[in-house]
Amino acid sequence: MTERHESVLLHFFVRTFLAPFIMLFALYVLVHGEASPGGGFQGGAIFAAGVIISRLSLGLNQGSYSFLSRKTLLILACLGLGTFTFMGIAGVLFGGSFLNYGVVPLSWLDYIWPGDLGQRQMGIFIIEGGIALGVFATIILLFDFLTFETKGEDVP
Amino acid sequence: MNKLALPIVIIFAIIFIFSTSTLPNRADVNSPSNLHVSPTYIEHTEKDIGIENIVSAVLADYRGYDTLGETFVIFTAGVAVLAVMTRRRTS
Repeated sequence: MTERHESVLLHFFVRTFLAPFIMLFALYVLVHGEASPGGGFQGGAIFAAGVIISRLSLGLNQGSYSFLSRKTLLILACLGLGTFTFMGIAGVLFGGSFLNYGVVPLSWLDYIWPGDLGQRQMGIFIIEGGIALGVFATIILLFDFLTFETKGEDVP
Repeated sequence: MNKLALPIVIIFAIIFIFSTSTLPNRADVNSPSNLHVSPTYIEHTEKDIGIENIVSAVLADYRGYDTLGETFVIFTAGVAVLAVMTRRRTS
């Protein structure tokens, strides 16, 4: 067993200056994906990179990963995939075809989040969020499991 | 078996390289995909979907099934790693 020396300065720098801007850029890529290159996959991957870089700065010390546990990540991945699938099924329920977002009445969301988005654009926005959530949670889940050091206890 | 591998690879490489010479050039305006596929999406995206980004429109709306399948693939990869790496007490 080698002793790991955690760099407090490195972790402070990454957590304070690097990770927040990576996550902010990820949100920009996700939200602005309708007008510029970007979207769910890219936004989720960049957001996961922001979380992974702060985990790497901890020196693979799994005891410090209290921010997102494995169970939470699995629930988030299921939630993202479920959002996409239920938006597809909602198209059938409101009289359209599968994955037809134009018939789902979502224009009341404009009162919550003002903008000039129609129903179809709002549906695309929601499924992009679902994709981002699923990709984000899956990437961090892969990272957590592939860097896990078994010490004989059950996971998760 | 190893002596057979190299000629097979060379033969297939020759076939593939020869077949690429019959493909249309990059950015050829007269290639079939540029004659009717791209103009259709460029013309119809604005009034069908209503967003500026044609790539996002194709990805999320025109080819929604494809994107749903991709998301399922990524999720399945995560669950597969979870199933392989999870250790249970057997004794």
